Amino acid sequence: MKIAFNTMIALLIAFIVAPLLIVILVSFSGREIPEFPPSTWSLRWYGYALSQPVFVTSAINSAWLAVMATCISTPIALGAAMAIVRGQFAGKNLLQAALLSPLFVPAIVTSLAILLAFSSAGLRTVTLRLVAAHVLITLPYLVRTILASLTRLDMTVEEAARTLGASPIRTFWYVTLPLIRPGLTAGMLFATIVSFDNVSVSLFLTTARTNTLPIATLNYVEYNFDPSIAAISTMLIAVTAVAALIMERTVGLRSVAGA
Amino acid sequence: MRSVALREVSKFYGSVPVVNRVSLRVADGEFVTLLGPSGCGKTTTLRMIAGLAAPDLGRIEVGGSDVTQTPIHHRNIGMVFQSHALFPHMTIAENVGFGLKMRGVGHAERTGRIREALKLVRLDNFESRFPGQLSGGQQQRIALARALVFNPQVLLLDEPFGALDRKLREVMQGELRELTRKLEMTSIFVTHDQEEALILSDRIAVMHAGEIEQIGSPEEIFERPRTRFVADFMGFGNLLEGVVMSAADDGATVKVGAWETHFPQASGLSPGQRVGLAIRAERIRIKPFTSTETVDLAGEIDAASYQGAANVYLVRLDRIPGSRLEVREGIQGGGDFRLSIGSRVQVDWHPGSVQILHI
Repeated sequence: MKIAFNTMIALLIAFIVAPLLIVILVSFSGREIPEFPPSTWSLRWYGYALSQPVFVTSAINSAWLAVMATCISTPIALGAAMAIVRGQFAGKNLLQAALLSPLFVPAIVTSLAILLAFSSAGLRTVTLRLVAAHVLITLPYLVRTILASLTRLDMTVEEAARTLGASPIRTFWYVTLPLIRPGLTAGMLFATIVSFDNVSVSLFLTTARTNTLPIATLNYVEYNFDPSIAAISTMLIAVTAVAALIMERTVGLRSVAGA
Repeated sequence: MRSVALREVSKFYGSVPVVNRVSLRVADGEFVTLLGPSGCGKTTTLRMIAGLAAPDLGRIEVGGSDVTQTPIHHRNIGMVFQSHALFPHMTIAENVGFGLKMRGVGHAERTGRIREALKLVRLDNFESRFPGQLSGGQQQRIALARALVFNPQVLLLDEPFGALDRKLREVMQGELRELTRKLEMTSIFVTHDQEEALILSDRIAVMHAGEIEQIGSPEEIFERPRTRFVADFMGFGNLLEGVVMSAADDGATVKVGAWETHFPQASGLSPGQRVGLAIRAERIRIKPFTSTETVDLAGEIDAASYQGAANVYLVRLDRIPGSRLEVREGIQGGGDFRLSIGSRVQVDWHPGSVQILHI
């Protein structure tokens, strides 16, 4: 019984990790085409990828976009979550459902809706469209983690701060914020990764000149088939792994996943 | 000036009053307890004094000035919660110093006053620990120090010892009493535990259904309840319902069932009026019936139980049909039932032990 159970777990892990391992191994190939296992080893595709302006600029675009989107959606999510947990108003559940909807509406539908909305609103600036769209798709992750932290928070602690002479703003700053910080940090990291990885929404909104890394990668593989894509993927895996490690160290992955 | 006054304060949830026209004056340095069962409005009353709830009607005054509209953080009050409500992310020193920091007290002075406050609750050298590392009693002492350190006009305590075990609760009650006396701190304490109220208070306000039923010294409340609710809540185990037969300057005669009794001190009663006679189970004397004496109240034991410190009997009185008088007899030595179920007994009590209630 125990052996069967352990085998199941091993298979499950292999199922998730094996493709990543293949990509990582292929990225160190010395040949012109991806081959597994590589017959020769080299770092040439890393050098090649980093020397391609299309990858470098799109990577910078993606990073900037992820940071911007997170910085804008964090205060919005914080305000919304506070209102949902603390407020007494009609349509509370509706607001919560609306904020979380990008999680369960098919990505392609969300994307198309955003595109149509922007066109009819006459919003043509690409960066603005991208930032707005990414704020939308990152919101649910932030709202969820912040909601979870706020619900767990003992409100009498805030009341105590008020009786001790703290104004509402100082109560938030000295008491509420430090106590929800783990959830908030987790949500922000999540949001950054979600934005950085996004394909479906960006696909509709990017142009040949303003591109994100996932879209640039996608475009590249349409016409080229070499291990440079594997090199980029490996670098992305590394960045994500570092982010996950930071999360684990600071707040614990379990609280993020279970939020 | 550290007095508190409530004037006709009401609070409604929807159209239901949870606090109904409550008026109360707490003098400088006085310790007053709001006592009552859960849902009687005592906590809501306390929260309105703190500013954590807003009264719908009435005025609240602290130190002679109207604070009804004053936001919480501008009222100079210290509050201790049942759940201690310490800040888990701050050290003990930061917790205790929070009120001082909010008042703009500088770091150097703060350190000194934190140390003083911690000494007051006998937890010096705990500065750098976190609340999670302390026991329940220690946490509540820190909460007390945190509420007192900035010298508030009034100390509010919302069932602060409710989460502590019995022994620790008694220790904490003693310390709180000593501390508030020493500081001459005006204090308002909320509890549902009558014993706690008796031990701590200068005066007790018994609350029921959003109103103060009776207010007085612990002795007054314990010995001379004026209403059925207060009598019941203060542990008067027996309430006999009767009718006033005659009332004059030399007292009144009350008839309960077929039993008539005279109260020489009774006043303010009129013939025909229905009254309740409240008497504590432990103030009734009981002994085996002997037919040689003339006996006022005789009866038969209906039930008997051993409760450690006492034997408790339920007695059916011959002259009061349907009665089941609870008698509590302290055990001097040995735990055996002296009287068995079905045996004939006679009971009596000191006339002063009976409290006449208007019902």
